[in-house]
Amino acid sequence: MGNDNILTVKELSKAFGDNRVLDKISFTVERGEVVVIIGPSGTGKSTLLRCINSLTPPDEGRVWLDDREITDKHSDINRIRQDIGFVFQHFALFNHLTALGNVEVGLYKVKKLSREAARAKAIEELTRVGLREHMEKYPAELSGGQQQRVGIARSLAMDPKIMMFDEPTSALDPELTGEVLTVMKDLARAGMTMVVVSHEIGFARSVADRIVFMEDGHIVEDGPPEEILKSAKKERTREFLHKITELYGG
Amino acid sequence: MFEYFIEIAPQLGYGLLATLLFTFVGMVVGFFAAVPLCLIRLYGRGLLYGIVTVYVELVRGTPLLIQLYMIYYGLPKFLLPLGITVTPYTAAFIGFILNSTAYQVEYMKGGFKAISYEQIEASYSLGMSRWQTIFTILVPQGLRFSIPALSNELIYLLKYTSLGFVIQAPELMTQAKELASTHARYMETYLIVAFIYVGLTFILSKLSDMVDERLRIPGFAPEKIR
Amino acid sequence: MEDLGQFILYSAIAIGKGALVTIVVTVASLLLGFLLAVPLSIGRTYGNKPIRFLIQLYEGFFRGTPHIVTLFLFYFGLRHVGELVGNPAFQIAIPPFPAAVLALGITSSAYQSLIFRSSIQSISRDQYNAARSLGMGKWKAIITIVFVQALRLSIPGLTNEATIVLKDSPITYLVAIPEMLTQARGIIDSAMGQVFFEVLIPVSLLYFGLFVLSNKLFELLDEKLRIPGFELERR
Repeated sequence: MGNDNILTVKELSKAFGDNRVLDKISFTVERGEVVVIIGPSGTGKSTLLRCINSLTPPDEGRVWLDDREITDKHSDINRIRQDIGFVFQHFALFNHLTALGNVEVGLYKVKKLSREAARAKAIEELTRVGLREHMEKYPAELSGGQQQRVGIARSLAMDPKIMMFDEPTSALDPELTGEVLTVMKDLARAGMTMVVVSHEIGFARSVADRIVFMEDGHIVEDGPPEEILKSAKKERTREFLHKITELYGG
Repeated sequence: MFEYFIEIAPQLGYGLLATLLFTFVGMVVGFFAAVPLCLIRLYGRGLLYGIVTVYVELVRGTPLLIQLYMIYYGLPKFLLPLGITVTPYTAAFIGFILNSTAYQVEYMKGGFKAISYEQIEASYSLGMSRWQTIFTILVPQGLRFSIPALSNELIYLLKYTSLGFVIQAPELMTQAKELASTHARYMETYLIVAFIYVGLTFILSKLSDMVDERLRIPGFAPEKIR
Repeated sequence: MEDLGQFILYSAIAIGKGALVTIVVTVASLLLGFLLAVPLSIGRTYGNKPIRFLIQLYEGFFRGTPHIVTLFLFYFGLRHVGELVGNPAFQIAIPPFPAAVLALGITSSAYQSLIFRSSIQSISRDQYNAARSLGMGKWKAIITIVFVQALRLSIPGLTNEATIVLKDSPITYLVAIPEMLTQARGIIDSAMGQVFFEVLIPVSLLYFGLFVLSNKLFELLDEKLRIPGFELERR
């Protein structure tokens, strides 16, 4: 594409029945940028992420990762997905595998590494998120925060070009969000390109390069944190931020 | 009553062996047949899906007795001209296998449905293909979740082999009826046989608890009803 | 041609009558099972040790025995119960219909008891405690507060049990109950074996139809009695 955009989304639309969840959404993300998407529940933020890596194929629109078009029917979607890390709200760990097993499985099944190489890399990633001592535990034996960190390690192990987070801390008890946000902040500082759907305004304020406000399937406003949080241009943005800072304390 | 029991034990033993044979063959063959059928039922489309669905619904919605009846008395009408005889054994095996398969498909379906959809999404986002997702993530969990229901099925099957009586398959019940009328000791014979079944059920129940313990995914204990 | 028409007509009527008998036997057995299972399940959950033990034996025996064996015990066995007590002339002769309903009903009660027990245990102990702290007596609390909710939760299990009893009902042909299988056999015999699948396939479909009908009825019941927000988690 000739610029430093790693992710390009053009006129993405998705409807579920009569409900127009995404309406001609367009935006780009540059290499190394951290974009935080905020907005009222049910406005299609999760759907947007899922449309980007085609977990939910969009009705209209096109998406590029670097210069590979994800929405092209002829692209190898499995190959492209390896380069997009996805972290789920409810962790989505594979329950029958240990933490180590969860991080390994993508490496030897998809990247076709040898079992030893996969194991070594997996241990490395788990250490990076601070869970080395727990690597033989099963998901049910881990706290929510630990499970989410395993989820992050699992995605990171694939050496993705971009990481997407779908409300990573929303399903966690308040005391546990800290450990996950810390990992995410470290990731951001290390230069990873991230798209994060979240309510955590504090996180956005400290780490985001851009904040995008979405409502009713549209992007309402898009700008740097200082601008959005202090002096948002649109009325709706300010209303939403007001509500949210009351609830979450910003 | 005890001497009577000793007297009839050999014949009962023979019937018991047949009963166990029917039960295990029905269960094991049913299991291996059910896995692919279940996957079709869950993820398939079109004609194949339709056939499997009709089969499963019909077999589960009609009495086993009628099914056995049709196989034993009805199948010969087609096979006799071809020179194939249908023995009680054959009919019993076919009947129990067809029946158990259908039920196991449904129980496995329940086990698979217990897997959160997010895990499927996570698997895809790592770049795994459809088949990889099914065999690496879904099958290992789905089968484990199905174990309680499947062990129930085993116990049900054991008891339902008694219907083999209706098509003269030489299992426990058939022997019981013959012995009872031969010796004209109905109450005792049927009571003894009842206790044999109860004992078998108890043993199978304990065995399947053990299997469940060993294969369970840590953290997913089914609630026991005390 | 006329004979064929007549034959079909009479057969259809016979099967129809058989279907009615099937329904009556099934419903009667389920009801008996229900009436027995209520005290059984409550006794097993809240009773004292001896009671719980006895009920456990009852459940174990009737859940562990195939219903065909139970049927024969009640019908043939009791006729010769004298042999056990040393007086061959002593018999308890139960006519076919009561024997069939007893056998199916008592077996069903053992299973229904299990269904109710699991529902009762799903209702949190706090409900019981709340009722008692209002001053309700033990049994009143159990019956009016806990069990009523448990009943509601038991509907899925009962739906299943109903279809099981329905599918078990044909064994009663062995004691000459004129239900559908008996009628079918009669027709086949009278036609000298000329028809077989022509009779049994419609009969099978009828059973299937009753099976679907039963499920639908319970579904309606479920809808009508729905307590908003209070659903038993289904795996």
